[in-house]
Amino acid sequence: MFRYNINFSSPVPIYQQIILAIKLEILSGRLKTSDQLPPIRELAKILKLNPNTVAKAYYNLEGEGFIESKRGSGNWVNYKNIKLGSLRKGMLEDEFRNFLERALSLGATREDIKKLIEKDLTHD
Amino acid sequence: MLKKEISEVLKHSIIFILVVLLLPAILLVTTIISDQSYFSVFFPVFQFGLFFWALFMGTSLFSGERRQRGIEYLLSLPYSRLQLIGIKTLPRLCAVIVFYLVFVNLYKIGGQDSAATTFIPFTAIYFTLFLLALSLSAFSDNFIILSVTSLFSLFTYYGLLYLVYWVASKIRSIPLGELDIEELFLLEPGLSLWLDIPKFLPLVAIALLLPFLISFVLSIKKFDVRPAKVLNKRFFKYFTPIFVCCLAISLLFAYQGTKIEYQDYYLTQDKKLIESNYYSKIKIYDGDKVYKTEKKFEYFWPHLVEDEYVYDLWEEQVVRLNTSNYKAEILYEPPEKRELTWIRWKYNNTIVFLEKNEDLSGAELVLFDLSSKKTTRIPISYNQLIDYPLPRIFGTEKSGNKRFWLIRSVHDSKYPILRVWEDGRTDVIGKTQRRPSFVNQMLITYLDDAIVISKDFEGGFKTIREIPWKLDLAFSTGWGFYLNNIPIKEIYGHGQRHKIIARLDLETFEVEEVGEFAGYLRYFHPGIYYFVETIKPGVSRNIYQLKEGQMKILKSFPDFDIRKGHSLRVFKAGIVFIRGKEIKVYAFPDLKELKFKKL
Amino acid sequence: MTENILEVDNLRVKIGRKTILDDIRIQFKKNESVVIAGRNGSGKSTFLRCLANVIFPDRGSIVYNKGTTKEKIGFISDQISLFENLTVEQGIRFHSSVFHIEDFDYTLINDLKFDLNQKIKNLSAGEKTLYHLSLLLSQKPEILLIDEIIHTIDPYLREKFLEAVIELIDRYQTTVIMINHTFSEIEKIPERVLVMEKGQFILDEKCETLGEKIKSVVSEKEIPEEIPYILKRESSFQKEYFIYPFKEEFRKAFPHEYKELSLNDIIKAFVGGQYVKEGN
Repeated sequence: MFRYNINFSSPVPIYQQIILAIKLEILSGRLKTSDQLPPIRELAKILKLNPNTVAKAYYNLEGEGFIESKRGSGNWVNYKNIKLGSLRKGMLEDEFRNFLERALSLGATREDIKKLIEKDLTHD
Repeated sequence: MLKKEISEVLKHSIIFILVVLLLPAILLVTTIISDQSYFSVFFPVFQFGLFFWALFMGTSLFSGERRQRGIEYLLSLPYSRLQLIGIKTLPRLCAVIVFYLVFVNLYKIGGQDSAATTFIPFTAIYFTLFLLALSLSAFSDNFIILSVTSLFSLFTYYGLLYLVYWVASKIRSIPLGELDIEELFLLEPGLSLWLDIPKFLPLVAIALLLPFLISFVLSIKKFDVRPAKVLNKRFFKYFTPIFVCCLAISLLFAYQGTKIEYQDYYLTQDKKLIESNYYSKIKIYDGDKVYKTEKKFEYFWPHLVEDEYVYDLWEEQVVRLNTSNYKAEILYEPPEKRELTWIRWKYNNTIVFLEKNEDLSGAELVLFDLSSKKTTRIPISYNQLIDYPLPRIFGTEKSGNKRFWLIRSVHDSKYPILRVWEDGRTDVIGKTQRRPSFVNQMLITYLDDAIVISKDFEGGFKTIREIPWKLDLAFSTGWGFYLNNIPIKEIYGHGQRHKIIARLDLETFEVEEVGEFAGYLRYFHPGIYYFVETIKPGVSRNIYQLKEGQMKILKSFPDFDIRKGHSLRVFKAGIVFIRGKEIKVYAFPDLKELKFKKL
Repeated sequence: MTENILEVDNLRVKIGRKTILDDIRIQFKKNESVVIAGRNGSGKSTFLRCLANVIFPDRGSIVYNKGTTKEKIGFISDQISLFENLTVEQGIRFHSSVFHIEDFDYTLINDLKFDLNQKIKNLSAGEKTLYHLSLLLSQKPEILLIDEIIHTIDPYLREKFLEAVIELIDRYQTTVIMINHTFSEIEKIPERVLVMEKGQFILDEKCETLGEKIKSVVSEKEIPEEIPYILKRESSFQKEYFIYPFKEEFRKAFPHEYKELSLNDIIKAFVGGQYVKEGN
């Protein structure tokens, strides 16, 4: 059901990777409101993680407004569409910034990059 | 956890039982000693097996876990170390005790020699082996090493036990044999169960075992999976000081235990108090001062006093103490393979005593001349005396040119009398119903209903008087140490059963009853009688003087109590009252208290 | 949840003249998951055994939370210690009676299809370990101490093992202290890393923040003295430095690209660094 590619060698904290993965699932539509998330223990067992790590991820997601934890029944997806929009926007910006940094380290100028984007987009 | 230990011990027990039952059968079959019964082989096998059992039970505390590689698991269980060894020791201790009891009872039922006594060394070794092996059980993983160490400890332990006893004896200058412990160590049978073992020995045995057990408990509290040498180091750290303490305490016990409490007192005519003890110097108290003899004596029982000389009447030497220069000398010692019968008698300048061969093949009357220090020996065929045990010389006289001694004995509730001449002849005088006496050159003997007075004429004793008399008591002059034959006027007697004091007048041969009193007579040569009345058994005494049929009370001791270790001695010169640790001396005739400063 | 479940103070263990643990002072919290790494012979197993009460320290103290009795501590030794003459079922009954477990949880036993009448000594090493773990699980332990055993178990049993541990952490808030060399086997269960060397802890960090504190840098030049590193790997054309603890100002002092490391690499650097130090 879930394909979480957790990279253990990455310096990115695991819980953040989980958060990201769940957000991707939501953005892609594979997870919708009122879907139940796997229980903390289950996910931990599957991914071989400390349950606290999973709990932390869920906790943060709840704080950001993407899921809701109901006492006794687990964690449920529950987001507002506005949230989705801002999420998409945020992730897009992150991705772009990463791309920009890498492109600049290749020695490309901002002009080269601009030209590349325009070329790609106008081709469509 | 306890269940596991119990089942382990049960498993071992069953194997042990099988071995003990089968091994004798195998031995019989293989060695073709078919003339021995199964049981006669079974018991030694069982006994030997028990030593092995004790060793095994002691060392096997952790062997089960070690074999299963479960020590770490064991230590991670929710028990403290002390709880663990408690749980492990309990079933093993029970097994050790149970098999011991089974062995002892089978032995008795099996009709072997009444061997309760031979069990003392066996029991001691069996249990100490178990306890020593137990305290060493954490030393090593290897059973052989543990066993060897345990056996070595056992030998060392018994060596130390003997050493403590030896040191104590040496300090007190008492010969080892006197304490009769050697028999215990030599595993000799025939020791009566509790009587022959000095009280300090079990205390020392426990004290020497304590360092092992205490060190074990203290070091096991930190038992862990580190190599055994860590535990061993800790064990020795505790063991050494505890052992030194316990050794010191043991020596103290032994020293105290070998103290011979018994002290004898004798008040001389010139009011000196003699105190004597086993294997020590004789002390003489004189007013403010106290003197000690130079030498130690085995025992000095002063009962013969003449002028400044006091002679002893006990044991293996004839010793004389001079109370003016406080020198004591051994006058006579029997030659090898001979022993003195106790009690000596003195007349004029001679001391006479009986000496017999150790193998009872013969005996002699020995006359020791005090001025020449020479001995004359008159052989007596002991066979004659075999019918006459406990011989006592009770009189001597010269008849014609030859001297004779009268010896009485006890046989079949009668008193046989023997007369020994100085040339070696012996006459059998006869038997008398009650104890005979010889006073004023007259022999007093008894028939069922009469007192018989006889005198010696050439050819033997002839009756000169017969006085009708029915009471079961005899007239006596006490021990009769003096044979000097100073004529006396009266002689008294006291009966244990009837508690009557009676008097026989030696001039008129009249007999009268003085009264009914409980107590005992004391006689001092020549003719001085005292009576110690027992008012209540063990408690309370009165002292009377007996003279011409009258009893005059001299002193009362209402607080006398035997149970508190009190004792009253009446001497010719006075009375010594031993009141526990306190000694009070009262001198005749006014019974004023004599103070001895150093007492 | 921040209370300490275990406090160790001035812990010292010696065998003969050799000091195995040298004045250790550390605390562990409830529900914490810790991994202890280090060279062979650094004292890790001894430390764990002290926590399990299997070894008594020569000095120092181990104080447990009130209420944490020996019944609530589970310990798996790297020596696989059990009463091997018992059968599986007998071992379960024994363990249950000693630890006062009323209802033994047979899930893992059944999952692994253990034969209850099989003697423990006839199980494989991995099976013994899982069996021991199942005994401990039923204790509902507050502290779980696991010595280096992960590598002895085949991947299938390993997965079962880790799942069982995760269950404990989640269900009973168990504090788990594991000894392991690498992270790849225990994945990301520990939250805190300890590295032990010569009886001392030379690293004690949360896994999360470790990435920021240790970085590696490659250069042809020598690194300035003020920048501390735990390991230096030299080859003919470059030098690689593993820096700890990292501070941002180092970027200015020695401007190079600082690479973040995975936990595995971090452990390797620490352990490797000690080997290098020895060589010097």
